[in-house]
Amino acid sequence: MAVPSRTEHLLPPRAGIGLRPRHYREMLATLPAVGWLEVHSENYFGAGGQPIHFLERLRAHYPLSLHGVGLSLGSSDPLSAAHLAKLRALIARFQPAVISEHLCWCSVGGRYLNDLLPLPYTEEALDHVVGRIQQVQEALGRRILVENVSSYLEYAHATIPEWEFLAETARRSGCGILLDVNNIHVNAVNHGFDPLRYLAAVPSDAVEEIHLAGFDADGPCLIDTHGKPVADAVWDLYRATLERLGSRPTLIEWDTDIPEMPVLLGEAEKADAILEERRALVA
Amino acid sequence: MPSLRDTQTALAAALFGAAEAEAAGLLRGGALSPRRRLEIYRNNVLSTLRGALRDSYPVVHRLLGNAFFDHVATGFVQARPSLSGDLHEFGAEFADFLAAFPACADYPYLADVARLEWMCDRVFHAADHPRLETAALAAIPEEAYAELRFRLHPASGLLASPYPVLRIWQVNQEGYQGEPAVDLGEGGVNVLVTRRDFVLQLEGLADGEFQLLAHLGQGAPLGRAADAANHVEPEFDLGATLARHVLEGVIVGFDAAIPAESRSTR
Repeated sequence: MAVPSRTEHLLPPRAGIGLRPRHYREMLATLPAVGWLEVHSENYFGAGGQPIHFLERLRAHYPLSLHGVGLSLGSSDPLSAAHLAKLRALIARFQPAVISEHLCWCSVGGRYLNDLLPLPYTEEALDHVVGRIQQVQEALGRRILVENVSSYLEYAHATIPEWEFLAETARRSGCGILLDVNNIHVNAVNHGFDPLRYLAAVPSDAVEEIHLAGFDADGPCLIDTHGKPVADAVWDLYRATLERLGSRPTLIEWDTDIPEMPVLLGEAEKADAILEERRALVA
Repeated sequence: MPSLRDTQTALAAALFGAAEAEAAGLLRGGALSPRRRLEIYRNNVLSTLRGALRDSYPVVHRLLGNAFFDHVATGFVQARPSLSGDLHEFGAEFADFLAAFPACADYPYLADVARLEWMCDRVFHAADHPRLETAALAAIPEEAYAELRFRLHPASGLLASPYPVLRIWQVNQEGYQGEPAVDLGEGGVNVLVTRRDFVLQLEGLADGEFQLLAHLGQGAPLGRAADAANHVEPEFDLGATLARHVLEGVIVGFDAAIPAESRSTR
């Protein structure tokens, strides 16, 4: 097998936005100055029609990131050959700059929860997920990025801190990291750790993309709803992240209560301004 | 230490309502109890799956109202697990479930409304296809017509119902203006679903036209499809019907080759 190589940063180190059906026409008519687009892979598993039509046209103007929510990388079930085949076909059709999945499990015993559940951070789970990522990378013939997920629970039998689990996963599988800064903040609050300690453990070279999003609170627990502007604390953590990693392509995620385009573009501009600050500092 | 398999199995069981104690025993507490933490995930899972059903079945949702729809959808989520990481595949059996759901027994048309909505969902995402080159068809000698097998557009669907589901669908579309009442006594309907410029088009078909397209869609040769149409509608005009559906892009191809079974020595 050809060893999947590091993606040569085909996404520009600028802000990107998630492409949503309610914005299709406006996007194509106005071609706003965002660096790149991201879509949920599964939303384009259909054979044709409106989603494929608009993605094909917009792909001609923007680099693309395919972000999967359903491959269930960490499940103890076998990988779904059908799901992988659809993903492979989508990659062939749209030639994305990067492909990402979540470091989590979504199914067991053939039954899908269609949610992103955290793994128990144990040696067994680490071995398992590393093997699965390698399987996926072989099947796709290229490197993938895995994203750290938000979580509202921890397993009593976990033996590895989440940040070490993420770093080891990348080191051993050769995958890249999609670092979700909002999820670090959410988990730091939910599980009581220092987000800067998490950040310090992340292998800089592996990080090829960053996610930013908004969260909601449910009592003492922060819930990663992707339905609000990015919180101030997360912008601060984002600055700290860039300070440590350098500039990285950064996505504004907004998946529920999706706002009008200007609101989304406003968030992207904020991220771009911080990326610009960072570049000015380095120059 | 519990294995990854056992951990995931226990969690999934707890999230779908049964055997919470085992999963709770695997979790840390802290600011929230393990049961509260499981509840957050249970709500997330349920609301995602119910949301997917609402997206696929907006008319059923409107007919039942929020609370009753959620009740039915919760029952469906428990009874028919999601089997794919692609949420668009979830809910295929919702019509059958509604047909057998005791609390929906007073609304016998509901299952067919759901079948129509699932068909709409499939048509919306189906493959694109160019129109039929009429020149290619003109090159076929007339005596070969009866054996032609026409192909329908991948983004098309046909549904016959003993209930006025087309009217029910229409009056429950956003922005519908007109007579909102539907007389269930008006009887059944044959519906053709297509897509034009990404917008779903639903129309009622006469019996002959419906039989013709339904048979063609199942791969029957034109002669047999026309017989079926004539059988239900003696006045059926084959030429005009074919021409219309070729022009409108419902019939998009044909196969003049004789299938293997007819070629056998008999």
